[in-house]
Amino acid sequence: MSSGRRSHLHTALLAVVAVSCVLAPLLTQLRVDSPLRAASVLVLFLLAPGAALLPLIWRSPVGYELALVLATSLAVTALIAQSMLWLGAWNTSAATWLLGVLSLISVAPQLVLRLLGRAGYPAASHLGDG
Amino acid sequence: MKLGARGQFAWRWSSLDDAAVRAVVLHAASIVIAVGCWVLALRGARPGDVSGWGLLGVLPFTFLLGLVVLAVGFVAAASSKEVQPAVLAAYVVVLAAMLTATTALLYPEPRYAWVYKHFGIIDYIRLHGSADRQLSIYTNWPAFFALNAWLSDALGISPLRYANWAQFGFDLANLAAVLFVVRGLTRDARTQWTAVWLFEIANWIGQDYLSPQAFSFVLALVAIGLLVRCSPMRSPPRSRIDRWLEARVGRLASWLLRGRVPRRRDAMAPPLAARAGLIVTGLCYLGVVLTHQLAPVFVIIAAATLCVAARRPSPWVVVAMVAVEAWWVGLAYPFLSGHFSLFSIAPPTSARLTLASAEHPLTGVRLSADLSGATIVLIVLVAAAGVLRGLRRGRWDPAPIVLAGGPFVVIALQSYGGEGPLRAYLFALPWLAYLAASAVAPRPDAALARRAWRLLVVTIAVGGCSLTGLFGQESTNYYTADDVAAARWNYDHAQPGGHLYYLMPNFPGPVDANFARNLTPPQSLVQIKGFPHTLPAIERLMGSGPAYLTLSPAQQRYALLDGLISQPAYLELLRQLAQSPDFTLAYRHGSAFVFALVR
Repeated sequence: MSSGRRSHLHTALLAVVAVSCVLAPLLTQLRVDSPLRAASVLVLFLLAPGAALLPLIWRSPVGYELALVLATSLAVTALIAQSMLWLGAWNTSAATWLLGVLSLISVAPQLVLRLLGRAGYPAASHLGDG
Repeated sequence: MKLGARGQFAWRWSSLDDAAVRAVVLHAASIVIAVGCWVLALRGARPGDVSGWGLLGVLPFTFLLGLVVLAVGFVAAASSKEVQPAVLAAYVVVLAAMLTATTALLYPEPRYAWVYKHFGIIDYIRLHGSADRQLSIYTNWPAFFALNAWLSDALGISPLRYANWAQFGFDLANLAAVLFVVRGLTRDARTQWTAVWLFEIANWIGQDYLSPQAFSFVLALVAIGLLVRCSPMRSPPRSRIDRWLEARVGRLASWLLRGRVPRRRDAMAPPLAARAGLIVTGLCYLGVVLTHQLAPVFVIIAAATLCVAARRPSPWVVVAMVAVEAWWVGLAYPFLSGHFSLFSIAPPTSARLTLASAEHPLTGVRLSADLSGATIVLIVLVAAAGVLRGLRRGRWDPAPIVLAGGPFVVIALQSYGGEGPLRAYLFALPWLAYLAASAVAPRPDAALARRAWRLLVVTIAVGGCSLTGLFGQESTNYYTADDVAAARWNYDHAQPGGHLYYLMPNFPGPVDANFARNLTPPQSLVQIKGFPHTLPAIERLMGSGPAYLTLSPAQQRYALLDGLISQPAYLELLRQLAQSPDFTLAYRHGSAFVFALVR
C-alpha cells in the first residue's frame, strides 16, 4: 500500500474514532437500541484509547500498527475498569463519558491537523497492513 | 472496455493488462468460492447431533472443501513472485472466520461449559460494583470481568449474547498480535503472513473464548513483541556472571553456525522509540497482571530469556515485572493459600477428564485426541527445520528460539490443573509458527512447484490434525436453552449450601451473580469413584439434606459420546427419578430436569 493511501486510511480511521468518542457515550446514556450504538461502543473501547495515547508518547514517521493500538486500548480500558473497583466508584455511564472525552481531547486535534495537511504528524500509517 | 459492433461495451479479460490485478481477481474468486462452500455447510449442519468426530461429523463435506480451496489459494498467493499482503490477509481472515465463527453462527447458546462461570463473575461485579476477594479466584484477578461488566452496560447487550462472537474477535486480535511480533524478526511480508497462517491453523487450543486468558494473551504477546522490537541492546557485560553468560551464548552460536558468517536480523523498523516502547510494554504488562494468574509468568520468562540470550531488554525490566507480579499475587495470597498451591507439579490432563475411563467411546473420539496432540509434534518438527535452514544460511537469531522454548519452563513449576502444557504451547506457538514459516515460506527465486509444495504439505498435515482438536469434542460443547435454563435455576433457587450434582462434567456453571449464594463446588457423578448412575447408588451418594441432581441434553450427548451411559439407560434413570418418592421434580425446561432430594 502506498504511503499516500495509508495516510488517507489513517485519517479515515481517526475520523471514525472521533465520532465514536461522542456517539458511544451519548447513545449509551440515551439507551438507544441500535447497531450504531454497538459499533460506536466497540470502536470506543477497542481503538480510541490507543489512537489517543500513542501519539502523545511518540510521534513516529513509521506509523502505528493495529495490534499496538488495540493492545494499548485494551490495557487502558482494563485499567479504568479495575480503578473503578479500587476506588469503590462503580459508575459505567460516567466511565464511558470519561473515556470518550479524554480520547477525543487527543484524537480531535490529530484529525484537524491531518485534515489541514499540517506537517509534523505521521504521514504514513501501517493501520492498513495490520 | 471496448465498444463492440452493436455499440455495447464488452469486457475482455485481456483488458486487465496488469498481471497483479488479474491475480487479485482470481484470488477474490477463490475466496468467494470458499465462503460459498462455508455457507452451504452452515445451511446443512446438524450441530445438535452426536458424532465421535464432533462438528466435523455433522457438517457437510463442503466445509472441508472450503478449507481446501482457502489453503490452495493462500499457498498460490504466498508463492507468487509479487506478494500482495492484502490478499494474504484476506485469506487469513476468512480462515479465522471459518474456524471460529462457525460455532457462533450455529450455536444457540455460548460454547464451552467453562465460559458460564465467567458470566456469573461479570454479573456479580455489574450488580455489586465490587469484587470480594474471598468469593473466588476470579475476583482476585477481576479486571477482565469488570471490563466486561462495563462493556455489557455500554452495549446494552448481555455477555451471554456476545460471548460466542468473542472467540472470533480474540482470534483476529491474536493474528494482528502475531503479525506485530513477527515484524520484529523479518521484514519479508511472505514469511510474516506465512507465520500468521501457520499460527492460525496450528492453534487448536481453544483458549480464545470469552476469558481472562484470551484477553491477557493478546496483551502479553504485544508486550513481548515490544521487547523484541523496541528494546535497546544492553550495555557491554560488566559482572563476572554476565561475561560468562555472554561467552557461553557466543560459543553456542559459533558452534551452531560452523564457521558461517552470521547475518544480522532483517526486521522492520521499531514502531516506537525505546522509552515509548517501555511505557507501552509496562501498560500492557499491567493489564496482564490484573487479568490472569499465569500469563504474567510467561511474559517474565520471555523477558528473562531474551535478556540472557539476545542481550535485550535490561535486567531491570525483568526485576520490575517480577516485583509487580509479586505485589498482585501478594494481595491475592490470603485466598490462594487457602485453596491452591503456588507451585504444583501434576501430570498433564485433558479437558476431557473422562476419556481415559471411557470404555466404548464413539468412533473418532480417541483418534481426535491423538491427532490434536500430533499437531504439536508436527509444528515443533517444522520449526526445528526452520532453525536448521536459518543456520545453514548464517542466520543466528536466538530470540525466537528462546521464546519458543521458554514457556515450557512453566510446566516444571505449575501444572495449572493439568492444563499447563497446553498454555505453554499457546505462548510458544507464535515463535514456532515463525520458525516453521522460515522453513516452508516460498522463496521468490525458486520454481513454482518448489515454491509451493512445502507450505501446502505442512498446511494439510498440521491443519488436518488441528481440526480434530478444534472441533473434535463439539458434541460436548454444544448447549441449548434447556441446559442454560436449568443452570440458571440451580443457582437462583437451590437452597444456599445445598449440594449440586450433575451426571456429566460438561454442565454449564453459574450464569449469574447468584453463584455467591452457594459456593459449594458441584460434583459430577461420572467423576466419582465407581460412577454411581443407578437410583440406589445415587441415593446413597446424595445422603440427606438439600441436594439436587440435574440431567440435561448436553450431559446426555456427553454420555453418549464417551459410551458412559447408553440412551436407554439414561431414559430409564430419568423415569426412575421421576417416579421415586425420595425425589421431586423441582424444575423442568424442555429436556432439562432438576430433581431435588426430599428426604
